[in-house]
Formats: sequence, C-alpha cells, structure tokens
Amino acid sequence: MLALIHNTFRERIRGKTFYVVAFIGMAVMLLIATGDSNLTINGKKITGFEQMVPVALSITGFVSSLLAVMVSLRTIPDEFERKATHLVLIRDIKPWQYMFSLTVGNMLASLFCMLSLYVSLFVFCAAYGKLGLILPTFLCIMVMSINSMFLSAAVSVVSIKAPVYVAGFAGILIYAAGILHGVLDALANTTQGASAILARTMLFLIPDFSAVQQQASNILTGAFVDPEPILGSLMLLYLVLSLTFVLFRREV
Amino acid sequence: MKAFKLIYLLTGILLAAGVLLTSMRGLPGEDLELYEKACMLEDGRLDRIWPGLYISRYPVAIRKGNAEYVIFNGDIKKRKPVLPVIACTAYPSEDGVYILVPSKSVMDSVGQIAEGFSGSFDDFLIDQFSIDAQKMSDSQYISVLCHEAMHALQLSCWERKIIVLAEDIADAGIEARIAETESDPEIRAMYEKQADLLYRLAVSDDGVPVAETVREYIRTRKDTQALLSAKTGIDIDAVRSYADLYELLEGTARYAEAKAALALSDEELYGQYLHSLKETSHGKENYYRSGMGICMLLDRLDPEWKQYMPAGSLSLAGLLENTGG
Repeated sequence: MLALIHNTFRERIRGKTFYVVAFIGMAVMLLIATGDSNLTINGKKITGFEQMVPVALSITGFVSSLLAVMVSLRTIPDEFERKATHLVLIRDIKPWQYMFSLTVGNMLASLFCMLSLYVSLFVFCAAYGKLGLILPTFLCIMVMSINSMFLSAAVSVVSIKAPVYVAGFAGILIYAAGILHGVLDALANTTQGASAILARTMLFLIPDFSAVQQQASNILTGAFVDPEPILGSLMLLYLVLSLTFVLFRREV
Repeated sequence: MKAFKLIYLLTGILLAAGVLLTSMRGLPGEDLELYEKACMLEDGRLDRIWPGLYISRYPVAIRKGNAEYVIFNGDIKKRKPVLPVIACTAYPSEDGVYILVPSKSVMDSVGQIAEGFSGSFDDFLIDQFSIDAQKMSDSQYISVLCHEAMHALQLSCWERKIIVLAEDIADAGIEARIAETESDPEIRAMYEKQADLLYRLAVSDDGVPVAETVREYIRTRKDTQALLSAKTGIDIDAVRSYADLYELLEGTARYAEAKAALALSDEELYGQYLHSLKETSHGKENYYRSGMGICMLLDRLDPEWKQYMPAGSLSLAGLLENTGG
C-alpha cells in the first residue's frame, strides 16, 4: 500500500499542471508579500509584511484548493483507462487497498503542492527578519491543509465512479459550498420545506471551509482556536476516505 | 494489514469522540460573554434609553445549530428551537415573553448576507474567500439584543396601543401595495424630502429644533401619506395606521438599538444609525428609520416624552404633533 501511495504521489507531482500552477502561485505570493502591490481591503491600503501574511495565506489557500482539485482529478480514471488496475489487482492487492492508496497519494500530492506554494512565504518571513511568524504561519498552513486534503479526497472518491468532468465540477461545487458554508447554512435556516431540508443535509456533509480558515487565522492572530470545525472537517475527511473501501469500478 | 485496520478504526473512534465532545460544550462562551455584557447595561444605561427596558427580565433563547440555549435567572437550559427558522424576535409564550436571537457566529453569516445584498458583490466574495472574514461587531450584536428586548417590553406593556393601530389596517395586502408604489418618482421625492427634514431636525447641532421645521415635517409626512393613499387606492386612515404601527413597533426598537450603541461608547456604530436617517429605503425599513428619527427628535423637544407612551393610543407622530407641532 505504501508503495502505491508513494508511486501515486510521485506521479502527481511530476505533472506539468502542477508546475504551471505552482509557478503562478509563487508569483502571486511574491507580488503580495513584497508589499509592492496596490491592494486595498475595505478601502484600507494593505501595507507592511504582517498585514500581507493573512492576504497571502488567503490567496494561496484559494490557489492550492484549485490545485488540489486539478491534481486529484485524473489519477483514478487514468488508472482504469490505462488498464493499470488489472496489473495491480493480479498482485493480490485488494480493490479497496488500491483505491485507498490512490486517494491518499492524491491527498499527499495536494498537501505537497500547498506547502510548495507556501515555501516562499517562509522565505519572506526569514528575509524580513520576522522569525516569530514562522511557527504560527506553519500551524496556520497545517490547519488550512485540511480543506485541501478534503477536496482532494472528495474529488478522488467521485472520480472512482463518475467521469472526470463530473468529478471536477463536484470539486468546484464542494469548494464553493465549503467556503460559503456559514452563509448558506444561515440561508437554509431561514427557509422551510423540502429544499431547506435537502440544503441542510448537503451542508452537513460538506465541511465548513470558512470556519476552518477562521481557526487558521486565529492561530496567526493569537485568538482562541475553536477545535469544533477542525475536528468536524477531519471527521468528514475520514468518512470520505472510508468510502474508498466500498467504491470500485466494475470495468477492470 | 490488521494493524492498519485497527489504527484506522481507532482514529475514527477518536475523531468521533472529539466531535461529540466539542459539540456537547453547550452555549459558546462568546455568546454568553456578549449576553453578560448586554446585561451590564442594566446599570441604569438601559433605563435611560427607555424606562423599563431590561434584558435579564426575559428569558433569552440563543439559537446555535439545532439547539436553543435559554438563559434566564442565571440558568442556561438547552431545548429544541421553538421556531422552524432562525429569527431575531420577541416571542410570546405561555410562560412569558422570550427574546429569540441566533448565536453570534450565525449573526455574522446573516450580516454577511445583508452586506452582500446591500454592498458590493465583489467585496462580499473577497470577504468569503479571505481567511479572516468580516464579522458583526460585539456592539452590533448587543444592540440587536436591545432591539429585541424593546419588542419584549412592547409586548408586555403596549398591547392596547398595538391592537388599536392594527385594527385600522384591515387590508392584509397593504404592505405589498405600498411597496409597489414606492418606485413612483413623486413618492420617492416626497420620501427624500421627509427623510432630509427629519435628519436635520433629529441630528442637526443647532440647538432646539425650530417649531416651524417640525410643522413642515409633519405637513410633508401627511402629504406623503395622502399621495400614497391616492396612488394605491388604500384608505388614508389605513396608510396612516400602517406607518404609525411600524414606527411604534420597529422605530422605537431601532431607537433602543442605536442608543445601546451609544451607551456602549461605539460612536462609529451610532453614527451609522444617524446617517441612515437621511437615506430612504424600501418597505418597512423606511418606518424603522422614521420611527427612530422621531424618537430622537422627541428627545430634543421634550426629554420626558417617553413617560406619555405607555398610556392611550397615541402614535409617535401623534406625540410629535402634540409636542412640537
């Protein structure tokens, strides 16, 4: 299983898409973190390295989420298309082990992509002499990585059964619903009827990415960190990952 | 493989236990702190805003997720929400009037929805995707609590007054018909004139408001109502009662909300309430604002005006006419 995970991980980070997006992300990070941009939020100009860090984290969080979807999209369908599945299964590897390994490989590749994007931020922290920011920034990134890993796992699981475009679309939908979770939840709770019940059920199954981001931000600002959304997201990640034990394509 | 399965299962059990434990923590500390901060206004500041206005006299049900936490007499009790949807309201029950409010985190989301609708959609989206989303301030939340406490007070003390005003509004579709007419340029111009006059009277720093300007405001208000009646075909008494009722219910509550912001020394928030007076809006919101403005104007004309409110069927506008017009 470890060999499969390692192989998937290696293949994923070798992809051209990863390098292109990672380069764009680093360029964006460079622009923001060096403070040369004309960024304004709520009418206030954002200047200074400390102010730039949350902005850089937000933008990189967005880029790495998209990257997680892209990285995880093709792994499993490609395996089936190349008939690699057959070669693996005749080596006495069970289907669930195979799907689980591919999904974990995708998750690790997404995590690696995310960390690669953030490396430049650590470099800037050191360059600006803000060494005290390195540990909170690292913890903040670790918390934010839960969102990326969930996206990666969800897209991988959907791609076991559905075509690539459906998995991609599902990934984008999950990301949007996760980020707008609080708002959508409030809206769903202001209405009644079957659609409201359906919306609440969907939202129950999608982690609140926004709340997780908020806890990441709290680590950075030294505010109270609520473990509830973090644990809730990890639980959902665990459940999605567990789906790999039961899902498999018949066309091997 | 057995070891893997065992570790995987244990991880799941630990996560489930963690989720269960954190979800059983009850009312978030943040909400309790805000409630206590709101109750601290009962040191005389709330009574100065409105005689008899208290928060701790009523059970306050704070809704978070699928549970409501009722705070009353130092106790916190968990129960199923009484309403199917989230709401900020005063709710009459068999055992008294309850104040219902969502938790601060839910209010943050509701606030973001409102900001998204009223402000720029781009800003709303940027805010959602950033790691530190804009939130409702503590003062705003406490002010909303005071708004609902004012409704609870109204339900306890102004029953007769509310019934009299509501009796005149026989037509259930009056609100929709008035709202339809609001886009009429003539009506809009009258609304704007009315809002401008009220802002000058209630907020201007030129000492005691001039009686003639107060009379002009009352005249403009009557002309606007006559025009609304003519354009909608609704009886003038019904139009007047409709305005009076919402100014009384929501205007005084908005007034308590604004004054709570001032009592909390949040000048910026109080400034936003004042600023809203000179802007016209749509639907009932106009009466929230004009009602608040009239209360502020009455403060300037006669600081003792609130003592005349509980008795009789006099509306805010009627009181203004008696006091300043």
